[in-house]
Amino acid sequence: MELPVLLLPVFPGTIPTGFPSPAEDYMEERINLNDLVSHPDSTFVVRSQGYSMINAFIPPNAMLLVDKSITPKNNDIVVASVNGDFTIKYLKVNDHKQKLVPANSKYKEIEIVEGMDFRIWGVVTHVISDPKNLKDVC
Amino acid sequence: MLALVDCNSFYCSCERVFDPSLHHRPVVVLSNNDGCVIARSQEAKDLGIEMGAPGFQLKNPEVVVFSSNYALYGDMSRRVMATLSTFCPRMEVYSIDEAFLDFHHFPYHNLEQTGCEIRRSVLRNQGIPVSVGIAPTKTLAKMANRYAKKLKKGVHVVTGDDARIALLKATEVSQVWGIGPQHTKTLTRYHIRSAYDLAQVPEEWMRKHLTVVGQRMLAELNGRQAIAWEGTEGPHAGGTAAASRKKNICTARGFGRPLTRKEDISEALASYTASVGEKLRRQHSSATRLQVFLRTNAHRPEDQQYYQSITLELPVATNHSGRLIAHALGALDILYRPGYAYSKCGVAVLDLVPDSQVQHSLFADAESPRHRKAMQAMDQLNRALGKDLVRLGAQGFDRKFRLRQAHLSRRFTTRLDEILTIRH
Repeated sequence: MELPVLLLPVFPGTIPTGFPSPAEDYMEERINLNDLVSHPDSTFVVRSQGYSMINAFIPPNAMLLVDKSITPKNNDIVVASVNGDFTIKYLKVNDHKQKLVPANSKYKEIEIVEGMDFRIWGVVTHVISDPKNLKDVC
Repeated sequence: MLALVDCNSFYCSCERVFDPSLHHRPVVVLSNNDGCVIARSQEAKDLGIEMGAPGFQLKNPEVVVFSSNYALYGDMSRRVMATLSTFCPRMEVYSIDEAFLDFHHFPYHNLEQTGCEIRRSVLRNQGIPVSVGIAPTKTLAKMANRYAKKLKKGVHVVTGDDARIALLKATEVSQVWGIGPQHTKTLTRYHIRSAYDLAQVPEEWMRKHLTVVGQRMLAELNGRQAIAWEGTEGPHAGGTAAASRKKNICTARGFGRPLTRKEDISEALASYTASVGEKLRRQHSSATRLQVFLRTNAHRPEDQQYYQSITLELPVATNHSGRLIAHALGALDILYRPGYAYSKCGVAVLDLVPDSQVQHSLFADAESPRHRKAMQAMDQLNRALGKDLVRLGAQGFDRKFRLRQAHLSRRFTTRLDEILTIRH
């Protein structure tokens, strides 16, 4: 008489035994750089090309996070438009006067005067840049 | 009280956010394929440029022309809606550039002030100007919004009968939400000229001439809500996938040039269907019915005209692009007639069900997990590397139907290699 064949499943590889990881109960989400953005619906990414803000650690080709919802204050770095052109500068406000000031002595300040089409587009909250791009200049 | 928030010349405003030299200049945006004008800035309206004017007729060098950039407008819309949702938990996104907010839970709000705050917030956060109409019903809120724009004051609140009657008297009947040119003709014949005249008509008369739609309109004009709320309900409903899930999805576009060969139309249809599939998967829905249409250019009366559509019941609800394309191409086999110059085709999926509720038929094979994984991988690649980079064979490679987009701006908010560059 022939005995029926019994098929048994085989697990390839090893089955972990021993102690479970002591970190298991403490696993957390990895850091997400999106958390740097406090207002995602009003934050835009722009690319900065130029040298006028080099001493503010904004080298050419840097990416800037710009939040439009923030009310600009004195000394903020802002994206502004002057007569139809965008620029990036320090905003200086005193005695009802506004100036856009570069962070590079080779560039001129822009004083905001009556009749200019001047708008502040947003406030720069973070600079993302390759540090190599700063090396030659600073 | 309901508010209708409507973005002013939305597509033009989106272009202006990223180019300050466009302020005060006439701007128009053309339809897909650069066919005709679908959005005009106030300056363009003042020049007499009409909605629907053919793109090639725009000869004035002052006018700045854009191809439609839906990647940009879609993202800007999402941002605007997010800002609006902070004002009120009950919100109904009505279209890409307008939303209803239901303020009936805020009886103590100064609505005029709230309207002004909404305008200020959206202008600051997204750079988009909006108008706000606030009234007891959707129809009146729409009307109040138009009125706000007309008076160039941005916010118009209609509280009490006097304000309502003044609004109705100031509105032509053709401008009432839901009244088309055909209705206008009928109503004018009966000397009904203003929205106020319309609001005085007996209910039976409305039902007879404008059916149940007219009956609802009558109630709304008289301050009684009759058009259903289709937005979010509770404080936490906003923003969830379930709440924003669409009931049907459609992709229909004109071809870059007239197509006669079935193979070329097949490629277009397959691409549109793939895009519908992607949208279905994004909202975790499956389709139970699929509709396909094919047409010639109705604006060329000298051509032989053809328009036909067909609706298929799908054996199993699905969101698999391959299956959807197979069904769509089957429909095209039935619709296609040789000898016509076709200008447009489209595909819609209807009667959507959540993925979790797909009924597997005994005889049709269920969606295998392997298929689902393949679709997921395709969607991820396309999102990361560019639309349609990975596609199904039926979508083709030479793309004769490709859109004409001669004046396209960059996708400033959705592509890292197209972000705004500022030289300083």
